Amino acid sequence: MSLSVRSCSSLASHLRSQWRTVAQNAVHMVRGSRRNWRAPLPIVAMLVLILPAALAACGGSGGASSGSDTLVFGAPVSLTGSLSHEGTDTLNGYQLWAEQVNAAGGIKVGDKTYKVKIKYYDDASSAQKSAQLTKQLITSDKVNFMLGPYGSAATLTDEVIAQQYQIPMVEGNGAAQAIFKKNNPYIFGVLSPSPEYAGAMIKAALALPNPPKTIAIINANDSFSTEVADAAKTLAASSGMDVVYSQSYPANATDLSGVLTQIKTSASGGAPDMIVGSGHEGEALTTLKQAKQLGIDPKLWAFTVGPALPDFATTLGGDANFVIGSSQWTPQVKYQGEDLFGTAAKYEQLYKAKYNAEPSYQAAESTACGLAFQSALQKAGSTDPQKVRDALKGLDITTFFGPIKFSASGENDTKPMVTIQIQSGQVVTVYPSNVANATFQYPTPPFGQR
Amino acid sequence: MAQYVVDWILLGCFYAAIGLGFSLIWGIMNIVNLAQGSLVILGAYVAYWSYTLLHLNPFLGILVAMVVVFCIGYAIQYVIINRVIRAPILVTFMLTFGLDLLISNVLQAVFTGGYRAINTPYSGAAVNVLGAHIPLLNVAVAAIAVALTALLSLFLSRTRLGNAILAVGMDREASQLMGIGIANTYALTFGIGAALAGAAGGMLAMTLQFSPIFTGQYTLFAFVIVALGGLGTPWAALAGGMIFAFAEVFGPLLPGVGFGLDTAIAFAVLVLVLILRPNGLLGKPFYS
Amino acid sequence: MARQTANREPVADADAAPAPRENREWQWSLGIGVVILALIGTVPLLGDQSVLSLWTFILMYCVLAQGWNFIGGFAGRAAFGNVAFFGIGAYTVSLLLLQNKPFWLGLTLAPIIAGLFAFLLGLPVLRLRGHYFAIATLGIAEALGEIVQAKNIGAPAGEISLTPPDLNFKVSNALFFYGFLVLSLLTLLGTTWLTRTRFGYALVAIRENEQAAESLGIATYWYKVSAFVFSAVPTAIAGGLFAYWQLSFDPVGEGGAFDVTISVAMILMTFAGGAGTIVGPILGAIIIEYLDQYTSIAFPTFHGPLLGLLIILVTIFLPQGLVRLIQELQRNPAGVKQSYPMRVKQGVRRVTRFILSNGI
Repeated sequence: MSLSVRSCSSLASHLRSQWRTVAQNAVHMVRGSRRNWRAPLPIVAMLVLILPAALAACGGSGGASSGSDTLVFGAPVSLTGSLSHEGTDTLNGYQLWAEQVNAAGGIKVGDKTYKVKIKYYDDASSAQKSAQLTKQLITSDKVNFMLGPYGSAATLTDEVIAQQYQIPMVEGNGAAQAIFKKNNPYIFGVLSPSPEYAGAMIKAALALPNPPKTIAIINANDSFSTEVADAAKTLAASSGMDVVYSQSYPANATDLSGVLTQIKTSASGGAPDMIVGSGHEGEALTTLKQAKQLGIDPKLWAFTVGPALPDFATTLGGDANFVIGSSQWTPQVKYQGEDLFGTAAKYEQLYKAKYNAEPSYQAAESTACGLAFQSALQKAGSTDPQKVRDALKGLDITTFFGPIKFSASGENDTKPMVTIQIQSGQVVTVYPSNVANATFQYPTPPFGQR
Repeated sequence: MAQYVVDWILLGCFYAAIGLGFSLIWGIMNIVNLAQGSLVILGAYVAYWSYTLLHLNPFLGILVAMVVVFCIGYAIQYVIINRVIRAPILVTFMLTFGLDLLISNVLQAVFTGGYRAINTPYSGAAVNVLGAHIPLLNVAVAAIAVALTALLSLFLSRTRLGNAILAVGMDREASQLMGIGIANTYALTFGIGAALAGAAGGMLAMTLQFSPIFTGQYTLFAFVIVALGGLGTPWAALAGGMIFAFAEVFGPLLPGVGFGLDTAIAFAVLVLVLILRPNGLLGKPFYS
Repeated sequence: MARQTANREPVADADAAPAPRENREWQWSLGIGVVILALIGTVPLLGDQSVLSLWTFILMYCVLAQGWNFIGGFAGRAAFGNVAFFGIGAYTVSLLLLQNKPFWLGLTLAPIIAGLFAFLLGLPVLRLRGHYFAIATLGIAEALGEIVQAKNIGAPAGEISLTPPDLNFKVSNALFFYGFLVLSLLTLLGTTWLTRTRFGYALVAIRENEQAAESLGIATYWYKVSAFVFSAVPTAIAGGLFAYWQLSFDPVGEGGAFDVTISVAMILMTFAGGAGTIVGPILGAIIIEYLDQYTSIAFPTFHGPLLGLLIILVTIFLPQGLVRLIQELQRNPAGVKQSYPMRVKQGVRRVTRFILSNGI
């Protein structure tokens, strides 16, 4: 308070000239006296000198593990933040692949056999950080190849870096079409492209004996969900369904009662026959929870992301039954793979043994990324990134996950998606009929009677 | 239209529950508690586990959540925040940001980022009035939120402890001279604020779903709600919750607005309110 | 907190400095700052792109923290919305690039638009006090991000994706690095100049006691508005550089251009280094961002909780920041000649007392 005392006394005489003195005194009070300022210089200078050196040292030692007969695969994954749930599954899928490869002796490339190692970092669900870590993996850790991060946003930033260093990246968790529109010859996606997400479910619904006639489509406004919803609208309209309502809402919305209240009266008879939600798991859960509270009962609920995840049914309990979803993969698919897992059932068994949980499709598609690399390496007979890239371009294999054959832009566009349904709390496959292990239950009874 | 009004009131009361504890902590101790969202989710976990493991009635689970989170909140304030309580607001702001990071990351590590919810057999019960569908579970939750607001208000004005808390909020030094133990009172205040967050968590677990991923979102909600209502009285949080829910429910009905601008509308209202009434709608100039 | 320091030892200070003398502290600060930046400037010579990228991020945060220092450190306003200027810069540059306009145009317009925005925004919100200013600025930043996302500005959901500059990427990465370096240097010079002018003294006076400053005839309101504009300009340029360097980014969510955690980072870094000092923000940005990146590489699974713990410890035990801590250890308030270890010992005692005085 000495400041105000001084100000009051000085106010009377030098009102305008004194304020600078007061302010300067304020500066001095805060900073201490003006002498003795030399001493911190050496400390600070040393600190700054040490930092880059320390960083270079730590960067250098980090990559030492890529010895002569180990192939290192880099993976920036989301272990914390909003994508941590799916990101953890991604890492599990990568690690299960590496473990199985090593248990089988390794990958035979030419006349040499290599063990594999996954080098991963946590990108905290930030695409910005993911790009930084991709650089770290490629330049400091000197990884041989890159596996994709989780999500379209991070894949978009990371593929650019893979291209700059001409390191092939196989990803299984970024479905947005923008990823493959960059003329990047180093990016390969093993998952089915985004239009399939809603396409699989609408086709399944249309194959029903008494198919839904009216449809409402709601989507989160991120680019992936928007792409899916646009494809769904086109497909529904061209298949003779009446799109009575479509609306986008902000991604990660925690309240959707406004959208749902509008849906409630969108079709002439009240709620439409089918409601498709294209977004994220949290929004799918909110949609169902709030639809129950608002008494909205369509004949069919369909969500692109959510139903395939293990916690969807446990979170909703009985209300999850009859809900359909699309899935890149289920343990029921019947591919006879030439890879080291062979069948989906075998994969499920191995995954359960290691992680004590059902494999999600995020884990399976991540494992498939590794399998694509493994095949390409064997085919190329070399670990040279260019040769492996060329081998990936010409890859045409069937795995436990499905066929893997990349288009010119790097998409795996021959693999169909499957439609799943939750029946008595269990995820079953209902479409296409050649892989289905249960019959499609339709129509959905009202909430409370499921 | 009736449906929108119902949506609005139910949502508003739930938001009030989220803002209540935040408002108390901010108003009394001048702490913008960025860990509030983490405490909400913590409460949701307590309620969830007491339902799934102990098979407690979920409404009792709210009570359990309040007790457990109260203890955690008390400890946080007593051991950590009390060390910097006299420092400028930005210091406690950073401190609670660190706490939020710590709590939400530990929750993620322990429980994974997966979603959970309490599914009660009566969650679908509803009545129809004037064409509006009124879910009874949400009505019960809204009633609890209003009851908590009333109880907090009574506690502050009618009990010795509540008066002590208010006194400390008004003038720390003077109340210290009056023989009020500051450290303990502050810890109690934070504990009560945390307990209210825990209650909101229990309500969240019952009506929607939760995951440690979204702690930041609930902190932001609390911030907006309290800022809209103002500080100094629990009823202000209720008003803030109502205004925020109003923007969220009725905003998209305006031509050219559309969904996705809830926060933008709420803050536009807020900035206008602040310029016209610098202490919030119902607030008093507790701190400035 | 500064005033409390003054409370305990005002006599020594007041008596030792009856009239303000020409002080040389700023020369030391500027010198140290320039040396630090010059040393960082040698990073591209290491030839490692990931190290280069790390230091580019560090320099970016240096600029952001320095920008925040004007309004938060000198004027002492709790501004939580400075990320709005960053986002405005990023989107100005991106929108122009998407229309095939040159990069320099965007980089020139970004600070002008952000400065104008800060001015127009500052007029109403700088009338608010304390928290309410904090809330209003935070709200504006949140609302801007939400509008960009909901109204699909630039791309669906505002998710920008730009074509890279027509250059070898190693060259362009180095150019962006030096772009941030020059920006940081200019901001350092600006800060130093500020501390030497009437304007700077006025801001400090406002921070220490706004009413007293007002009563001495300082037009506090206009000084605050100017400080707000000052903090917007470098932040917006950094946003513009960031946009073209990163190429793709979202408006909201982790790592987004309007992500509140960027605001939090600016504040944390400035505080850790020393708010209202010349080199503090630079030191804070280097230490915090380096530690953040280091922990996420060294402890991928635990870096979230570790970072949380670090923040808690810094705020409890380093509430004034590193620069002020060093100053405090060096101070010799009594003006008596005494041995160096003795002075440090007294400094430690003062700092401990200060830390304890923050609690109850």
